[in-house]
Amino acid sequence: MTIAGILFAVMMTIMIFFLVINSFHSILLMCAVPELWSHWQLADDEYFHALVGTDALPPISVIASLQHSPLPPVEIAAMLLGLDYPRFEVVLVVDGAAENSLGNLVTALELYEVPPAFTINVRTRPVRAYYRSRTYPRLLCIDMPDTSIGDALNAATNAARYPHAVAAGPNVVFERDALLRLSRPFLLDRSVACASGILRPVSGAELRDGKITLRRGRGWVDGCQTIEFLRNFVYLRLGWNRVASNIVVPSNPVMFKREHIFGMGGFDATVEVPAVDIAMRMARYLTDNGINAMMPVVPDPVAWFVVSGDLTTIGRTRRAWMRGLRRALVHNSVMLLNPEYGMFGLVAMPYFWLGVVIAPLLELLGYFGLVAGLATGVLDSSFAWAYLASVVGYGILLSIWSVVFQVTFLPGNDGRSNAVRLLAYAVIESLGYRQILLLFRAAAYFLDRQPKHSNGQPSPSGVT
Amino acid sequence: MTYGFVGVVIGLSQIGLATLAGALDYARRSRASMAGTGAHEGAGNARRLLSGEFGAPEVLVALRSASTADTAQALVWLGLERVHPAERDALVEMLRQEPWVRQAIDGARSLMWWKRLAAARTLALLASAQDRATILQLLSDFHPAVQSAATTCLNRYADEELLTAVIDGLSSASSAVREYQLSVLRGYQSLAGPMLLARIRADAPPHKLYAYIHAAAVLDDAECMARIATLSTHPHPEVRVAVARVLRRRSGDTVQVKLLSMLRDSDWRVRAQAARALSGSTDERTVQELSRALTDSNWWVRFRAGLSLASMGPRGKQALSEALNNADRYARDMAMLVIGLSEASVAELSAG
Repeated sequence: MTIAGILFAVMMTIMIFFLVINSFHSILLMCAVPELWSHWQLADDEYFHALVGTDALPPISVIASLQHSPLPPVEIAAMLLGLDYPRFEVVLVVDGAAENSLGNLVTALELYEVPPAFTINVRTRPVRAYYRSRTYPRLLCIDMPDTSIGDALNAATNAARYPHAVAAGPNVVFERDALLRLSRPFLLDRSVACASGILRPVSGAELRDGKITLRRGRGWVDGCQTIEFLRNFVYLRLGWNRVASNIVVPSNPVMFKREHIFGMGGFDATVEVPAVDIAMRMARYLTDNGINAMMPVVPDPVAWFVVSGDLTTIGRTRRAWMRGLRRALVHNSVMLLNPEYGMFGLVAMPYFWLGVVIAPLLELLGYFGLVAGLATGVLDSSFAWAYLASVVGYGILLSIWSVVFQVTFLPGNDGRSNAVRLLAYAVIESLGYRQILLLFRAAAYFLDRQPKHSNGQPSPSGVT
Repeated sequence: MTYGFVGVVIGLSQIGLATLAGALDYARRSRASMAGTGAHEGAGNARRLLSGEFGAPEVLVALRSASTADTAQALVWLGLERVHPAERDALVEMLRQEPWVRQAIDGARSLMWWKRLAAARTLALLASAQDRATILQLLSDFHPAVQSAATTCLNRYADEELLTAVIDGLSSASSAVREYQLSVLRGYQSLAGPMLLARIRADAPPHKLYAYIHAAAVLDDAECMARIATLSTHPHPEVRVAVARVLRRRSGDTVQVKLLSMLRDSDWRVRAQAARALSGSTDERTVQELSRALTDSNWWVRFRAGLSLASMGPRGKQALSEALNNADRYARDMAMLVIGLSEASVAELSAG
């Protein structure tokens, strides 16, 4: 076969690959429709609303690591303590040696040191001290030396009192009724192992006395990130509810049963993105132990992810997410195409390998190949159009559908007045932003090593 | 045309998405039409009905114009309004003859859960003895929302068979459904109490017994509570935990003796619940037993004992101060933790 023949075959393979991947995305979007339908049937259900405030709601421990968090610890504590839920506690892990962390909390929340009288179910690095608040009995603070998020979450899970816990990344700002929404799957069905909510991007958040004022970015990067989150982290995730269990989005708030976390040996203290790792390990753990339980995503926006408008920071985040996913996939490769793990092994695992890990490399290769093919005359314009339609155009259409779904069915904070702007970004996102992210994601293969204690989070400039 | 397959694949996916989105939008608009006819025309109709300007036939005409699903919703909504009983019964009788109502009720046999939900909601207003079999089927539906809606039917019509089905299903219902069913059972306390009493027996399956004990506590039935107190030595720990939890709401010497013996139970969950339940007592023996519980091997038992002592008043606080010098390190630590809490914190933690 000549070089021209090889180039044509490679380009044709890449084109068909993206046609299949985008068609699969299209099927996931279609699967999101019945999810939305079910959501409406239940969300408006007066019987469910009547239960709020009754003993039916399970008590919850909210666990969070404030290490590496750019958000002010006192404000985060106030925000979490101000959540609307009848029975919950907040367990925060801070680094007492870090500037303006524990000292501020001790002063503002009247913390006092308590004895280390907690059951250690998962081994962690040493804890310096435990603190309770004289004014907020729901609060427990753990002082740990600088450590990974996974290790900090393990310490918090050990010290938590309640059988259910909610964990979230450091840049996450909760809606006030987040716990009510997250607990719904646990209320309605016994066979739920963990549930996660929808995370929406916001360019800035002002926290004052636990009250949140969101700041919408107006730049093109903010717009493109909104589209990216809508498509990948809202509607495709909803579609996954119908196809297989979910892989939790990095930083998504997740509600889980502590017994499962202990059964798995806790969060992996060595990973950058614990949420991705724990979700995949949980899918494996549940099957290995014969537990028939779901891991649904609730289509309610329960939290805001404070993103950066700075491309360098975005790139660092995406590289960390990519490394985290790749590592989790490798560590759990026993599930790949293994029918014992059901749809997770047969569909989700191959998809995440092909559609998320390998796709960026192929797409990048495809752009180079397209230019080379057109320049040398190996590829004609009709192929180029077909190729661009498969790779870029199809993606634009799916982004547009995500926007249509959002403004039509879940308007929330994206009113219809915002529709034109979002539709414009749905096009722009695939014609520049996506290609820039592609470079970052591809770079995760060649340039990066996992930092010792990286949390995979950006340092948002928009947080005050 | 060589690459026409690309266009075909993309086109088919777009047609699929457009069809589903269109169907969803239609469904959404249909639901919203309740808000449309319901909030604009229907709400106007309801207002006129409430003010006595509207009779049942006019309401029937208004409901006819809505689709089946919306009508089911509207019925629930209308059911909440104050309609004169005689007028309401007449309306119900007329509605039962309507094809769309029959269609909604027939949805109880549908494979689609939302149709069963609509049927349950319709029956919640129209149910009578002839619907017993349908309600029984809906009560055992796999979907919690359908179960909840079917439970609402009991507000309209209930008999022993239906109440038995609810009580027997309590142990397998999800927590949300169970709480709702218990709230409905409260309305039938005279019937449900004896049914529960007959089931609260030591030889009943533990998971069922656990649910019955919880139900009896919600109904606050005196005879059931007396029977529950006799189960404090039940061989199954889950049952003893439930008993200790329920006894917290009772008082009296007999109850206190039971709780003090449960404070020495082999299962830590029972000891923790007993320690919590003893917060209402202030006699010396309880203080001594709770002080001893501060040395328990389990953190929860020590925590609950500490909180109970802290909420007892001066004598309990004195016992906590004395525990600061206890030879047992864990008792000292727990006393230090609890003494540091404010009164409000003790109250909140004791309740939670």
